[in-house]
Amino acid sequence: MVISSLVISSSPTAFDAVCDSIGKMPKIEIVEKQDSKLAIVLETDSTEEAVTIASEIQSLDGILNVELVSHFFEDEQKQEENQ
Amino acid sequence: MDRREFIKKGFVITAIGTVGGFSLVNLMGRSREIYFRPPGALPEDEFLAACIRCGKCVQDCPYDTLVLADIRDGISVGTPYITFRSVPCYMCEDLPCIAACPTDALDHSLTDVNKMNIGTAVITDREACLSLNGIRCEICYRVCPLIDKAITLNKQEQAITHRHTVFEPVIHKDFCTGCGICENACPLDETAIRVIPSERGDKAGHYFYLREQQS
Amino acid sequence: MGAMDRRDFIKSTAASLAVSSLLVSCGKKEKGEPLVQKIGGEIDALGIKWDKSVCRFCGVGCGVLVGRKNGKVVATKGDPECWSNKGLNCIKGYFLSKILYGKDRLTTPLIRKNGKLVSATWDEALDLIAKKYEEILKRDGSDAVAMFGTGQWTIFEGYAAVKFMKAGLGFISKDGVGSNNIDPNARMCMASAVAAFMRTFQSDEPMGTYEDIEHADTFFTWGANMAEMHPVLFSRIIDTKLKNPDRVKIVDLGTQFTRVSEEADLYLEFKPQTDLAIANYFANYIIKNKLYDEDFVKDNLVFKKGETNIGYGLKDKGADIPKTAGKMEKISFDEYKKFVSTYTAKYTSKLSGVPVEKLREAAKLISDPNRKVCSYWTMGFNQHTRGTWVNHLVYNIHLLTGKIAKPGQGPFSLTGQPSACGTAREVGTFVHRLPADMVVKVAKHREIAAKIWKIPVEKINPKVGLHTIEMFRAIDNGQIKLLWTQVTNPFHSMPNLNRFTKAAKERDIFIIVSDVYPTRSTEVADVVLPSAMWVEKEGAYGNAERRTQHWNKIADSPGEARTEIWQMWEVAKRLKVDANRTVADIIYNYNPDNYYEEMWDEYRSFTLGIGKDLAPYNVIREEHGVCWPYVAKSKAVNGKKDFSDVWADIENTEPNGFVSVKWRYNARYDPYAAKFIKEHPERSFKDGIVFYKASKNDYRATVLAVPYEPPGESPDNEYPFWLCTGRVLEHWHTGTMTMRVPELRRAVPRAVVNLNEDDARKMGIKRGDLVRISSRRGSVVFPADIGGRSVPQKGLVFIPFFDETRMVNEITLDQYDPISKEPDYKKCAVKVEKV
Repeated sequence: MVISSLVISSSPTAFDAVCDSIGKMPKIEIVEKQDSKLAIVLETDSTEEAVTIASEIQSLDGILNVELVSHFFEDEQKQEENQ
Repeated sequence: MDRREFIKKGFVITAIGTVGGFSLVNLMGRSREIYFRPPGALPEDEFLAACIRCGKCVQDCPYDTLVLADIRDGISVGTPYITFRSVPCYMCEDLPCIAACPTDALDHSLTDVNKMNIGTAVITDREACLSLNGIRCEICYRVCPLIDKAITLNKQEQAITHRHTVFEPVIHKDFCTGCGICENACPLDETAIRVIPSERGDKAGHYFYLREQQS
Repeated sequence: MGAMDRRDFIKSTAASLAVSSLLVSCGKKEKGEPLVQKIGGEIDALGIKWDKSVCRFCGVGCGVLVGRKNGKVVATKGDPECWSNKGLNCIKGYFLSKILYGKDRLTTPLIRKNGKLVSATWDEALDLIAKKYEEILKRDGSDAVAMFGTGQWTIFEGYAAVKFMKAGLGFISKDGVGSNNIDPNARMCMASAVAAFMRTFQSDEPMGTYEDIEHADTFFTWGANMAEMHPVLFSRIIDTKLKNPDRVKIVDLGTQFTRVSEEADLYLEFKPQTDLAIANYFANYIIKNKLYDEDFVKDNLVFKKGETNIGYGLKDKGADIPKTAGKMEKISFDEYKKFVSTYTAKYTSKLSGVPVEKLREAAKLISDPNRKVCSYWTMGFNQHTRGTWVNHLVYNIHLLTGKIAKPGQGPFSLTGQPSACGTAREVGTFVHRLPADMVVKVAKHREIAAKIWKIPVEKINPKVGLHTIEMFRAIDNGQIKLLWTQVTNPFHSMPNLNRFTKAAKERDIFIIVSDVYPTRSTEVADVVLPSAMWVEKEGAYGNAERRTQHWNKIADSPGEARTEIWQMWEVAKRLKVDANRTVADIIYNYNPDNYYEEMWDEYRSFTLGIGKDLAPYNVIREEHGVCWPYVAKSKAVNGKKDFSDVWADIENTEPNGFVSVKWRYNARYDPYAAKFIKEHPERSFKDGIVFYKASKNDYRATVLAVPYEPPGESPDNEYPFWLCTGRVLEHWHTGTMTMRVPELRRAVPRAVVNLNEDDARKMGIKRGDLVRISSRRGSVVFPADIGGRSVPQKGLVFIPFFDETRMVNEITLDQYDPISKEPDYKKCAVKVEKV
């Protein structure tokens, strides 16, 4: 289990469309929308998967910036250590 | 965007509440903020290693000065810290926090509360400080438990009226314990006096040589 | 922690982190409108309109500019054009605007019904009050009602209150005379200074002004923590010292080490009450070393001996006070010399605990003919069972050396309230007074007052009313049936408080409280009247340097709050004298649209031509404060006295044909003095100084021989400590205003007991420990402070009285000075125990 939270800024005109697209993506929960920014939480199996989703978001039309706020990967780390 | 880049930008949470110990500290990186620790706390790295997050000092603090860091504090989670603006350290003479500490995170050889060193107060906003504008405020001076030692008043003529005195609070590092009562009491919305970590300036002490020469 | 809730926890933490980061990055953090107080800062850009006013707090009388925006007072700043402070304030003055907007402002009248205060209409409240007045006055006469007022009344309010009590009620009362049971809380504040001024100079209030500070080189502070209680004046004293650090000396005399002591060159810590001995020692030193001004003594002084063993007012109705307590008998200079010769350095040192060398050093400074000496004092002297005496004893020193009424030289009694001088003293809101230093006992004075008030002279009661302590004792004893308090909080500030609070609750007494916030006094009220405060009404204050300062109404009062004048006027309207007239028709016969000006003109007429001349209404409205006597050159202007023949010799005359007198009794500055000297060529007056008001003493000031006498209660085995009460810079009086300013409350949230370090160590008391302080009258618990801003001498504890959650007055003693009737809050016996 890897949990990350991100803040996404979009252009104001594209904001509704961006919310729409992100809302349809899997493993994403939108927690707050404000002034053409939104805060989301990602729950993925691995960091790689989180990176892939973040990249997908970045490639959407009207996205200005994707910022990582927090990233929890203790479980993953333990798995890696065990291996 | 690769994994390294992704993580580097963010606030990294790696452990929650159940872990401690020196090895993990190195492993986990650092929180970005400065934490003001209870009286007698070891230097921050060692403190984080030695503190077993038992919360006993917090329990025994009679003024609720000490609070426990939570998950948002990252690596510091579960450790005690002080927010002077909420509740400063009222410098209990019997140091109940140290007495409660089961490890050496708080230095048990510290018995004179006046010798503690949580940090040092400084006037951080000279433009906003009312006393420096000639207003008879000097609250920080009068509430200081070590008045006339840790804070004294430097007097000079008020430059606009030429009839009044500016009573400038001057903090003396040798006596200031960093209790934060001054920071707590400052009447400004954004306090003009703050406690900052005591280590600062020329750590090698070159200017002490200069000062000795002059004196 | 299970897997699921651990996951939820991490998820919610992650979410909250993202949301907080969102908030910060969007700049959503709300910030209040900043207060503007940069001296000379840009103000117009913020859309703030500024008007002149005066600080609501202490007696320094700092001018403030009040900034208004959208009908609300948003800021205050020091008024650079006001002579008293020249643009600076203390921290209380800085936050002045916030006293108007405490969350719990009283906005509707309240009437106690079934034990609870409930909202009522103004008509209900006023009708009830009028009914009570009528009932009690007709049944018990004017002695059964009382009004307890304040040195915070505006001059207009004090004048309206005096007329209400002393003139108006006589038309309703069965005995046909008004009531003299009107006393201000200024009785607890500077009555001793008043008594000594009157007995020494036959005219109240200081001769000098604050400008003395810039001319003097030697400052004596007598039991006065000016650094905290008169902060802006102290700032001026230190500036004088900074300008000439080698020359200027500050000598502090006190019973505890304060922020003044810290700045002083010499600190004399004396045992409580022995200030009497020290002042006599200084006089003795002056005489022994022939340092007195021989010509000044010959021209200007008369020597007298005071009655001794005069009691302490501990028994009701002053039963332990001899009738002759205030008697003064003429003696010769030689007899006076002999009297003070007892007070040798050795004897005084033994009595006071001050080392002989320190006493000598101080005596040398105060008597040095080449030094310009100013003495300042406040509550340490005035709240003293021998307060009148100790005031006299300082005058003695200044009179013997001729260091008086000259720039930079003089005794100066500071005041604690903004209009203790302007209202309580000048208007005469005391039980024995009428306006302009007149008294009810003197038939001539009653005649003057009756003529100006246009009432029959019989309506003014010649019998002196009950002064503060006896007034509250009379509530307990059942004589007083109705009490109206305005702008004051006696059920917090009275000494031996438990007795009076109990009396208020249990006796048959109807209590009306006019105030702006709920206080300890509203808790015992039967009716609470919500009042307009400070700049919510037009007003004027008179500060300690005889400066009258006026302001216009700047803001509206909240809800249904109304001015005290309106309240008294409305009650007076409901008191019917006969079919055609009400009391209001007789005493408030003013034009309702312009009554402030009409009242001022009427009141001012009391003061003209007698050396107490107040400025005309248009002048006080325009000027940023002027000092009385405000004297006109020609008779045509003030209609009483003509000064054309001496005008050319007077300094500081103004182009408008007036002079605002900075040093009374001095012919260079005071036209009355110049005129008097001109009219009395047969007499010589050293340095052109004449005490022209002292007509009963051949125009000489009195030097009084009075001894050291012990206080009313001293520590013993059971109660081994002295208790001294007082104030801190951050809070004012009972804290009803300053404790509602969040910034000041944060700075000093509670009263603490200051202990001497040695005493504390012996009892095992540490900083922050809770300590029970008990006297014969009660006990209160305070946190201990050791080694802080106030360091009491061994065997003394100091507690400020602002905190309504721990009221030190529950343990103080209701002893008082038999002459001034001012209670002594500085000395009683207590015990100290760790809780």
